[in-house]
Amino acid sequence: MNSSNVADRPILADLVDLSIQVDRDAALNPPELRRRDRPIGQKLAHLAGKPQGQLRQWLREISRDKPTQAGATAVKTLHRMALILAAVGLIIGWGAALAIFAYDGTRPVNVVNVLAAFVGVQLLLLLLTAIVALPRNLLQRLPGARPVQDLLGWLSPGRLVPAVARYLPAEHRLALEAALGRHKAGHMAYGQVQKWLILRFSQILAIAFNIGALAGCLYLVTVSDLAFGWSTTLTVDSQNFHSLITQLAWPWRSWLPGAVPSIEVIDATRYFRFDHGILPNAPDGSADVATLGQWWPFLLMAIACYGLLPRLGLFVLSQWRLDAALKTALVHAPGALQILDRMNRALVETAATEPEVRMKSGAIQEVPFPAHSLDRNRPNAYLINWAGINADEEQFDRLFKQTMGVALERMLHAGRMDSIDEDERTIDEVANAAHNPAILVAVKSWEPPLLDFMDFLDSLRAAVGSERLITVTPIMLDQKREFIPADPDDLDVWKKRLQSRGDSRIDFLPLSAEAA
Amino acid sequence: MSAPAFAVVGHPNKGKSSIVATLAQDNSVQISPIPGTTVKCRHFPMKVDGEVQYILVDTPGFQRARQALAWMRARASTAAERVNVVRQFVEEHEQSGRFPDECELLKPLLDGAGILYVIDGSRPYGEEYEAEMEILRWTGQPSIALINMIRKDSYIDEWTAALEQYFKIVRVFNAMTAEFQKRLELLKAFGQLREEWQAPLARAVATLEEDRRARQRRSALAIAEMLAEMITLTVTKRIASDEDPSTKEADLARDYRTKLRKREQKGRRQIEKIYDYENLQREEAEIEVIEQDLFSLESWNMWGLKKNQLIATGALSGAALGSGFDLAVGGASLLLGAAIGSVVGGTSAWFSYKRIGEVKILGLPLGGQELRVGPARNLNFPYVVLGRALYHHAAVMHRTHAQRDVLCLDTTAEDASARSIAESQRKQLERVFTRLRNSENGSYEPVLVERLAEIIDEIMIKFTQTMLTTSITAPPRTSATANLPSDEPERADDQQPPRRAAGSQRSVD
Ligand SMILES: Nc1nc2c(ncn2[C@@H]2O[C@H](COP(=O)(O)OP(=O)(O)O)[C@@H](O)[C@H]2O)c(=O)[nH]1
Ligand SMILES: [Mg+2]
Repeated sequence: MNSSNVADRPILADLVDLSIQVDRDAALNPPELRRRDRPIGQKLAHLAGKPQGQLRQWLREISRDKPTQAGATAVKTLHRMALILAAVGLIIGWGAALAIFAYDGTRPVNVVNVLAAFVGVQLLLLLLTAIVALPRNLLQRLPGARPVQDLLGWLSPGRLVPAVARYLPAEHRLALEAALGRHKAGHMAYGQVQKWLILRFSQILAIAFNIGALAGCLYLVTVSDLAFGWSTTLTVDSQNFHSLITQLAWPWRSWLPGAVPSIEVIDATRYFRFDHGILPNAPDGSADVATLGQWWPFLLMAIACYGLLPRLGLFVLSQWRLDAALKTALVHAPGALQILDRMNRALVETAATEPEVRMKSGAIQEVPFPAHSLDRNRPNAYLINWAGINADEEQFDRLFKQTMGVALERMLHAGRMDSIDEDERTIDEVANAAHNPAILVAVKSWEPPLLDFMDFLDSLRAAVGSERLITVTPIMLDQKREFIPADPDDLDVWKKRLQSRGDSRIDFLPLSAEAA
Repeated sequence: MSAPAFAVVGHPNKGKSSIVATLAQDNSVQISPIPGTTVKCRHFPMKVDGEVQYILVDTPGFQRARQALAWMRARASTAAERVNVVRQFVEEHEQSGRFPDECELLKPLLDGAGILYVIDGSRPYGEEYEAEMEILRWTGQPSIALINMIRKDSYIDEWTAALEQYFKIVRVFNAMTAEFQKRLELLKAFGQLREEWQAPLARAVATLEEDRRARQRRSALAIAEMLAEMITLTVTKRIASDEDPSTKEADLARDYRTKLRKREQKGRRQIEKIYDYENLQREEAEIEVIEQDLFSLESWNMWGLKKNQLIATGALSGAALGSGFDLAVGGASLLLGAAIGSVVGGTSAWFSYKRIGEVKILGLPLGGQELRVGPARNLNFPYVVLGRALYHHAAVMHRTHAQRDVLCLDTTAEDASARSIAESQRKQLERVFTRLRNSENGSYEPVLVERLAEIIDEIMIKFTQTMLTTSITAPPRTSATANLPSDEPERADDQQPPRRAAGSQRSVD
């Protein structure tokens, strides 16, 4: 994978492959793409600032395991088409030469015809080509040129393809239609590429045509004895015609005087339709007949200069513009900016590397609380204040009298800092109370039920036996330390947690709104 | 030197996972009001090009801190022994299974992680926190206390007083709403914990800032693409010459709207993905398309030429093709070349055609009429689309990954957002919009999108700062589709806000 490798490959192939790759990538997630492309970007750090080189090298890296043939195939197809076009051009050129230079011995080959076909028409077509080739923004200043360009563009037989597709086997038809749909959507991205590609093909055909014509002309000149003459309905005298011819021969008249017919030759080769004989003005004598042949170098040079040369020039131009267009298209192709961004931006990841361990849920069996059954006949209760709720015994006493009609006999503490022993003492006291007081446990509703508390409940349950009712009451205090109703969400958490213990003698008794 | 690690520890349900989700921008973190949702430590390495800059560790909360501390106290008589006792505690109870949560959360600390102790400052302080704070102190690791505000009440003062007994740095940090800058500040504070952590954290902060900018630029490009596609969207329907076009209008209009909406939805998802939100639930009023002249009717023929084009083409060819033979020379070369060009343009698609399976087979009547909707000619349309997209983008940017509710987008604020585009920027936008509107067949030059992305990026920089205030102060509107309200007379005419409704059309030129 060196950079010479990249240079060898036609950009067009890369362009096609790039669009396929972008298509494929659409199925992947952006983070995946970043992880894939950033290392490539780092590897290509030496290409920083050269987006085109980066993109092409990126393609190479990406398609290493699964190289696509599409780009190569497209280029091969184009080469083949160029060859075919060249062959067609040669044949048409040759045929055209044979047709125009057709000489049956009765009438000379009319130079005017040759010039009209090989110079006049060619120059006209050259003009059209030039219009198509002009950049768009320049055209805007040229009145009327833009519609012409549009119209020439409309002349695309590509528009016939859907009609043809109808007769193709289903699979090919679908593919072709997909291709056309795609072609439409991406039209602008590849617009310049297409334009110069088309123009380049035109030049290949035209060059081949001119070469064919020249070859045909040379062939006829060598194998047969052609007589040239000139004739036109317009009133043109030999003098004027001579000056026209000399003008035409301007490019070569200084260094190839033999290819410019003299006034005598022009005089001698004029003929009229109703004249008898081939060239009535021609002086007799074989030496003079040879001078009549002077026309053919002129004609050859005219075809070469006005047919072949401009086309060669245009070919070079279109090749140059095509390369430029391909380079731009590559960098501006849909998705290219994103690829460059992925390659050149540091890959920043912050997410977890391991998957989340899901909390086991659903397996817990929830036991319903007993029907509200705080024993009203046992008005005395022991309150266990869990984790130091900041309220004194009187406050609690008032609260429980109001809400449950029980009087607090004692308030004990548990769950406070530092003393696990205190928890044990509390449990002992509750368990050893001979008159079996009701057991109330007040907890902070805003703190979640911890295992620490569950351990405590376990110990308490073990100490008091499985039948004693234990009532848990989540408490909520406002900022003035007054009791207020607890947050329903908090209560829900507590309720679920207590139910999940599977102890049917645990009651859950939050403060109702009015009680607070 | 290994990368600095920070373990987020504390009581269950105080927002540890939320803080981690926000800082790590990770939606996969489980956040729930049920305590004990996090059961295993989870590592969130911040990596730049694969190189770890720092690691955040989410941990389960303390469940039996008092018992653990009692165990430790019984074994350590001097301060010097404490770390070893903690280590001993973990080793012993990994086997016993008595303190699974404590073992899990102490392990990273014993491996050298800094402590981020999280409490909820909207609930009163309680002495049951002291055991866990003491244990944390015993690990000997540098620590910060973070006061998270889950609810409205504030007990910050009493908390601060208590926390300062145990922690050098105490900060308020709202896990749910922390702006990007706040998060960066917090990261910088982490760097203060240890001399050698300062440099890597500062580097990480710089990278994150850069990354944020890059994401914004990516978003601008995605929005520009969406905008271009929505403006140039066209749907057409060919109808036979004896059919009444108006019977097809409803179908076609529906088709057009559906496509517009789909494209917009796709754009929303793209933006969300850029900011690492997968499957974000979103609630947004659908875009309204009220075009008076939604439809245009044109005749077409097999060549795809419109009638007048056809006549002109005929005339031109007639003029150019005088002799009959030059058709073979230049004309043919043009035509052939064009054919080749079209095929080449589509070669790539040949290979992926199976994925584009829904391409319709083209029907083949030779000529008729074509009913067409789009490109959107309405002058306000692009601004409505852009305003909505900008607002959505800002909302996504302001969101944190701890928020798990539906993202609600408010239409009145969307309008306000389009209005906040500066005049000079609107002029630049208008130039691009005009060219997009006039493009054919939904094809436009890609440079237009790039230009658009640049402008949008500029707008975004300003916009994301002002968006939230605008959205709150924007007066509520009853109808999203109403015309320009007349209750805003102070606005000069040329600064009229683009509105969703598109009743009237100004001409483009
Ligand atoms: N409103 C609000 N809720 C929060 C915030 N932080 C956490 N919560 C909520 O508190 C609950 C527990 O959060 P989580 O992060 O799971 O706590 P953890 O147990 O410490 O990991 C969840 O329901 C969160 O939605 C906050 O800053 N604001
Ligand atoms: Mg958690």
